[in-house]
Amino acid sequence: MGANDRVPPDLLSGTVDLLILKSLAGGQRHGYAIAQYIRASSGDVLELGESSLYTALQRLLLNGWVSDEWGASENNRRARYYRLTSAGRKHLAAQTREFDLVVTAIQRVLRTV
Amino acid sequence: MRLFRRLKYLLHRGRRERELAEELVFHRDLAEQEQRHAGLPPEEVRRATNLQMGNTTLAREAAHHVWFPAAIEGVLQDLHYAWRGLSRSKALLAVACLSLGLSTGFGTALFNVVNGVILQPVTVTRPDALVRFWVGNGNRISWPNLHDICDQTPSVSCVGHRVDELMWQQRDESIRLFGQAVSPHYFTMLGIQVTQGRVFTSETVRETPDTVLVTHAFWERQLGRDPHVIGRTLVLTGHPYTVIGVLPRGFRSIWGLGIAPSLYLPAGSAARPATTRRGDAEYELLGLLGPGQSLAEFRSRVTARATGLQEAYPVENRGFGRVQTFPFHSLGLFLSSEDQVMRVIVLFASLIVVLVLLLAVIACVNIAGLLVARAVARQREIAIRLSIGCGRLRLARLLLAEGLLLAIIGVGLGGVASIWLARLLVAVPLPFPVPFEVEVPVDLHLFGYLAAMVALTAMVIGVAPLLQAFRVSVVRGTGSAPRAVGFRRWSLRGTLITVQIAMSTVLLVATTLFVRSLWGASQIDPGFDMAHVVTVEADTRSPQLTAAEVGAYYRAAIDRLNNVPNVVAVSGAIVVPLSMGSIVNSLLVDVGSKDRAVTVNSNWILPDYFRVMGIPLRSGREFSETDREDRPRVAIVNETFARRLFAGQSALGQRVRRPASDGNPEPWAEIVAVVADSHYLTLGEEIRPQVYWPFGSGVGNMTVHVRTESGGSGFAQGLQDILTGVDSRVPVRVRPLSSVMAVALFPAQAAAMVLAGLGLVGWALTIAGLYGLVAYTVTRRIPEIGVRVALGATPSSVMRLLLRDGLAIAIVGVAAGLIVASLATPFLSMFLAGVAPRDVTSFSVVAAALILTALAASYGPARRGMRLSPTDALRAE
Repeated sequence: MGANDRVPPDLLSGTVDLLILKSLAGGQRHGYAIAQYIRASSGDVLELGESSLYTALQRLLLNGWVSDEWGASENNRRARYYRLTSAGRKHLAAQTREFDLVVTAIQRVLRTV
Repeated sequence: MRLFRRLKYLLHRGRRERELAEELVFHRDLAEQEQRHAGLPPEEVRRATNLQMGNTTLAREAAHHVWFPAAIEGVLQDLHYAWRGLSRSKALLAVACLSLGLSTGFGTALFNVVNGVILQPVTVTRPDALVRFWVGNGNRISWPNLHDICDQTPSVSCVGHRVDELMWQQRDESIRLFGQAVSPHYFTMLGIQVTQGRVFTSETVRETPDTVLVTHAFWERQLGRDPHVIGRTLVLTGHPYTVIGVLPRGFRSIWGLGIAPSLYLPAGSAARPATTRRGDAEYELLGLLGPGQSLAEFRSRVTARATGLQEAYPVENRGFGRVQTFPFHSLGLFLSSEDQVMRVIVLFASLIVVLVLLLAVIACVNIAGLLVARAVARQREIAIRLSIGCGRLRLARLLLAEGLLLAIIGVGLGGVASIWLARLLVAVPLPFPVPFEVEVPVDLHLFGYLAAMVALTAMVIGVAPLLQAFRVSVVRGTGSAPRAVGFRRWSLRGTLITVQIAMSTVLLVATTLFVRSLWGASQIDPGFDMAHVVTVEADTRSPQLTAAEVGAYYRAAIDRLNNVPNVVAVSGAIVVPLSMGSIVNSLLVDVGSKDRAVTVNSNWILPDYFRVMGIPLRSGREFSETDREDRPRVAIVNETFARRLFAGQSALGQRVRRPASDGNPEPWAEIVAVVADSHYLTLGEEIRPQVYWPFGSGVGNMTVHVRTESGGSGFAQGLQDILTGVDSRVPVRVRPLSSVMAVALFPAQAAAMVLAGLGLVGWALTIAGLYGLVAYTVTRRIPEIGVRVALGATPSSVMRLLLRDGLAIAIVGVAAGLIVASLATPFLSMFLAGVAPRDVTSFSVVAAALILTALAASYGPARRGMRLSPTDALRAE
């Protein structure tokens, strides 16, 4: 799969936030790890730019859905780790349901002959 | 929560931005590392990463704007720039802050106090259901009648009340207090709650009558916030009373205007024993309509009961078939009475609002003038900005930001000042013993008001320089055109000053007229001379004194006082006018075929009363000692009485008598004098017919009036000592008449003070603004001065030139202003009492003051300019 196939995931508004929240559901990660996780788990389709990733993270902080903490990375550098708050967990669940609904609906429309 | 996090971000903005930068570097390093691992050559790594990652700076800005939206940041940038500009012109900033601060500060404080004092409803659960009513011919009825009407009429709730002066005896001194004696069920009927203890009710009073409720202010100021006040004993007029409750803070008595008695005691308790005589009219009535009850129904039930009482006691209760009801205003009794106080207060309040707005306009005109002057001076800067691509919209935003910033600073200062001013006003010790609390609400209303002021001011002061800026031409503006333009060429600057002077003239004339008119209205002549009269209030109600001793005491006291040097005359009266006490009752006048009943203000006086009070005798004579023996009976009436009842004929020799009491018809009394009118209950009232009776030879509590050649506080102390020498058991209080009347005089005095303050602020603002503007523009001419001096002009000729220019402009401005004012003020005539709309004095004083200000403002900078050497002056720009 070439670089041209990688798309920024802002097709649907709010998707970036949802993906980031989902990537944190398994535990805390730093920004780079979040980007890697999303790329890997989307089969290298979704690629987050710095700008959209960190803007989204600041937005999540502002809304109180994630909290941040500085810690040491795998290679012993200072890195900022993000973790879901309980409000974030609730938001993730609600957004996932809504997203499913929308996607199913869109697919239904697209498949209608 | 989001707002809170935003604020936290702003507080730690520096750290948060560093953290983000560090995070981005970390991210990039990891990305590059990954590319290297993928086997890209080193020069390709960075390019690939950049491609993948995007612009880091943009990322940082985008992240920053999450917390801090770009629109807000733009405004803050404008404000920051505006602040930099303004902080360089300190004088402008100072005048602006002063003008806005003073006008909003004063205005807001005034609104606060007016709101706190006047516009608060009385503390009653259903003020709309209250009704004042008279039974029979007077405003008061006796205790037995009160009991029969209010306690024994089905479906009628009513209470009686009266204000009593009480002496509160402490260890070594007596303090005179106002107490309100009320029916025992007063508090339960009106729904008044207490914060500590309990209220008295009909049941508790039956068991323990001598109980008292104190107001919060009394508890705070005179009982020292005693935590064990409930159960404490107060000795009132010789009788021990138990405090059973404290009324809440902010309690408003039925009087309104923030005036409240110090304490409430049950009518019929020891200090105010119930008399069983039906003729002794003592209590005023206040009724409460039941839910769904109409006024007509209430009146008919009271009338039925009163008619029954008239049949049972035909002599004492003559005229009881007549029941009059009067509306109760929720702002209190003072505003409910039929006199003109209400109208005066409404008019006064609305005029104050007009004045406050005028002040705000003056302040705005000041600042706008300075900003326009500054914009003119900045033509070059503005032209350069325009020519290097600053959009007109952006320019407009910048200039509006200056207005907004000035408005925020000025109004903010004003807001702070107003809170302080209002506290100061409230803390002024009042000249009378009536507790008087004004709460200064620092609430959302206040902030809303201030915000509205900011918006309004910013718009008014921002738009003028804006219009000016839009006229700047890039080509001409970048040259040196605005330099060295004299006044005489009717430059923009000269026009600006002329307009400002004209506007100042109009505003100042209006302000002065308003202030003069209201001042005049607040200086109502009471009809007697307060300056030289001292009153002696002796409390002879103590149970230790026999009736004979009381009589002897007054005779001895008056004798002693008559022999004091500096005392001109001594007299006495039951009612001291304008002191909240009143006796209103009916009188029968012999008009030929049948008696005619009139409602009159009454007073009982000793000989020499009119001489002491300085009330002129129009005809006839004062009472003499022999008149006190009751035969033949005599009376004195005021001019209103004589005019209304004996129009065209002499009142002397006519006959009047009181309605019968105690079963015997009263004998006729002959009118022996007519005296000038004087005020009785309030200064705003319409004068009523008044009758004076000779104080009988019997016993009675009265206020002794002493006329002195010159009043003086040391003198009062001397009298006090003399009277204590007469009988040490009688508590005595000696005060100037003016302080006894303080309650009645207070509104007028407060009004006068407020008006004087407003007028002063208005003048100060106008003068300061005009001075600032003229001085500023003359300063801009310093280079021109340099050129003139360099070309050989003598200092005196330059000074003459500058002053002549200043004078010409001032005269043109003032003339224009006077013309506009004389066209406009007739429209104000309905608000102007006692002052002609084109009052020559006001007009000329304003004109002279403004011309002098303009000259003085030209002189100062001109002198400075001349002291500079020509080279310095030329370099000044």
